[in-house]
Amino acid sequence: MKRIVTHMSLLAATAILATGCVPVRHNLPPEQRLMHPGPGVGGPGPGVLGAPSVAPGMMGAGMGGPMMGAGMGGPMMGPGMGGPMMGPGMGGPMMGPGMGGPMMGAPTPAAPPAAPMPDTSAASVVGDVDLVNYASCGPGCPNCGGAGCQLRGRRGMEMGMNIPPGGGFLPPGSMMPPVPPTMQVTLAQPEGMQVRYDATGRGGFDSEPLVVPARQNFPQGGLYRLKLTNIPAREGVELYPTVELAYANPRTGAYLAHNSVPLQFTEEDFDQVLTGNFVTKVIYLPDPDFQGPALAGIDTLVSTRLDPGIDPIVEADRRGSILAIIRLGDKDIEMSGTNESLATGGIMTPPIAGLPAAFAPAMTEGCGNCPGNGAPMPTSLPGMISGVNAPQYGMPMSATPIGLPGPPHIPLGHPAGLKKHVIRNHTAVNIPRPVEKVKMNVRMQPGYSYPNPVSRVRITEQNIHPGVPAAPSMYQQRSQSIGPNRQLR
Amino acid sequence: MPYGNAPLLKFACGVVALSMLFSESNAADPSDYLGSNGRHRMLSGDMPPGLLGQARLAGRGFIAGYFQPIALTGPQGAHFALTKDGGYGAGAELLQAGLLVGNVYRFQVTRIPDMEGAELYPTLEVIDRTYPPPGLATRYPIVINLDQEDFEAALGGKLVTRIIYLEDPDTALNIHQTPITNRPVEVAEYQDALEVADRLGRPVAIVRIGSVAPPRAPALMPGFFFGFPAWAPIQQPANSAQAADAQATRFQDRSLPPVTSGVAPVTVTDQPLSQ
Repeated sequence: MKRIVTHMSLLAATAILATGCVPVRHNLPPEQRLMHPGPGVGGPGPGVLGAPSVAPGMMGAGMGGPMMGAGMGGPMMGPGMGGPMMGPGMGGPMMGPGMGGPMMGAPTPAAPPAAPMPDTSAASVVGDVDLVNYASCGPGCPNCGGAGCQLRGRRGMEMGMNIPPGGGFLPPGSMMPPVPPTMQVTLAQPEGMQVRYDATGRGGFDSEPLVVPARQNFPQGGLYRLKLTNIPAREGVELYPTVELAYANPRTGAYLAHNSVPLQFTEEDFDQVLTGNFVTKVIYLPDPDFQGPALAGIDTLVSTRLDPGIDPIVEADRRGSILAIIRLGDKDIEMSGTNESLATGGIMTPPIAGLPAAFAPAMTEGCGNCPGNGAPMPTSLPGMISGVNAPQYGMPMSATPIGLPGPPHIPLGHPAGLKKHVIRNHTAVNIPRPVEKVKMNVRMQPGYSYPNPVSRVRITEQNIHPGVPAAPSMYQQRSQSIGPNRQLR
Repeated sequence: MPYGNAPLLKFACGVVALSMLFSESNAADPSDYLGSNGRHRMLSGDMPPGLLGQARLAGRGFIAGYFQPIALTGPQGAHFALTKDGGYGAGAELLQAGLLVGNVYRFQVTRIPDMEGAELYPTLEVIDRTYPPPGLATRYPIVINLDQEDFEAALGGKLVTRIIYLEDPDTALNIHQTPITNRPVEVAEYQDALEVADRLGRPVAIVRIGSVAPPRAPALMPGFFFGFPAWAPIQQPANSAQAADAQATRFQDRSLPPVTSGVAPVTVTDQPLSQ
């Protein structure tokens, strides 16, 4: 009997579970997902979760991709115009003809004297883009091409004008000389020392001397030889260090866009060199894991301060991103008879007059002179692109069918090891079919309650001692004219 | 006999278990490569200028071509100026302009208090827009207030990143914030300022302050100024009383707190190499 009861209880519980008598708890996606198109799922959906569609280095012919605006491909833009400014939002066709103006590099227009205050009339809204109407530059505005600044947005996009991101108008076929990205170097110490470099690409030190402290822009990705003279307290000493500048990468791009790289030589460095030692100084930007509150900014590793056997370059590369490498020895490059500086054969002409000329490319990672580009890659483009300027390592990020990023199956910098990646979606999905008829029964609680309307009225009028008029009656007076604003007397 | 191959079955299970054990030991745990926050973020605050704005332009909504009003202030006496005619115009202590979302603007800071002759060229990147009441966009700009400590740290060789965010209305404190009372949220060097700002609200602008100087070669100017992006001037009211009233109203109505990824102020020395 007990067994029968137990079996019946289990059957009843199973039936209850199967029929759904248990309260169903609905779980809707978050509010922000409900705002997205699709069945409650935002994100790009199945596929590869790529980086945001930034088209920083789209100047080169070989680099022109689908993000390029019409007519923006080709070598017409230098890195200053490319880089972070080029994107689907700003690439050519996004801007309207109102932005037509001078070429890039043109100054931003000044505030017109008669520019009115912002006009927020409905006429200022172009399409469904609600612009804040600032002072319209007016017909004379050079940056707006005389058409006013209101012609932007989608209307401008439809016009397909060839507008560089920095404003202005690029006529089709215009050629801009390629400009390499540079790194600003501050020669900080010792003060009073003079520094020369190769300014013409002939292998000598024919530049105007820089008196420390001084600053100079160097093209990235080059190996430069300097000549140090007038070193304080070391009369007659001339040293010829080399400076290897790395290409910028996404880690160092922001730093190099805002800061200079300080190169300085200490007394200890000179002492080490003059006693026959070779000094290697590596200036790097530490990774966040190696960066504490007390070690902000860049750091320097000096070979003479490290333990024997530790390569400062390897150690700096492990700790962060290398910016520059200084190698300092006591070899006299200009000694008569050697003429080594002129015999290198690898001297490269300076890309821009006045900039130092490198005698060899840097051995650091990065795409310096991409074929077809003519200009090194801007800082905003990721330094390593799998299959483009780096070996095919595989995609570092995978996607899931529900729009979430997959596991990071590859540590960057290592060969691909993942061969299969299976993701099963165990999410319970219950999206019911739409209904065809809706019947609504409305009941307000509490309902309306009004008093009954009046159906019977009883009026009693009683006059007690009605007064007797003392004045003459009206019919005894003469006639009077009655107007709208006159009263009887 | 259904269990006649039991020893063989046990052996097979053992081989499978051993192989699984070795395979598990060789596989790297994906969490080993996660950041300190336990996950990967596609965007971070230390990305090169321009990337975040372009990522926003490629995101939801169509905001390209929108001139976002900003109001830039700083310490008493410091002047700010935007590019004009290939150079910089006359600076002002309160710089107001409409900047294109997604572009990077390099402005000039002069007359820094207690730093005679020092000039800085920070960048301002508008990465998102605000949605003020219609017709009142210039009255509710993004207020960016820079500190003296920012300038001192930048002149000391540091890179200061300020991320200005719009507070989350669900978590914002119901307190009026003004440039005087508004204090930045300072984060450590190993923290991502953008992540902190994302947690506290919606980032709308990034200011990066360094000590770089403009190049002398004219060919490098477009790159230094990020292509001279267009900006729209905002005219001050003609009447000074109206201007003061408008400024007071502007600062009292809204203030956007920044998140600063910086360090304690240091003196003007070659700090990085001296360590």
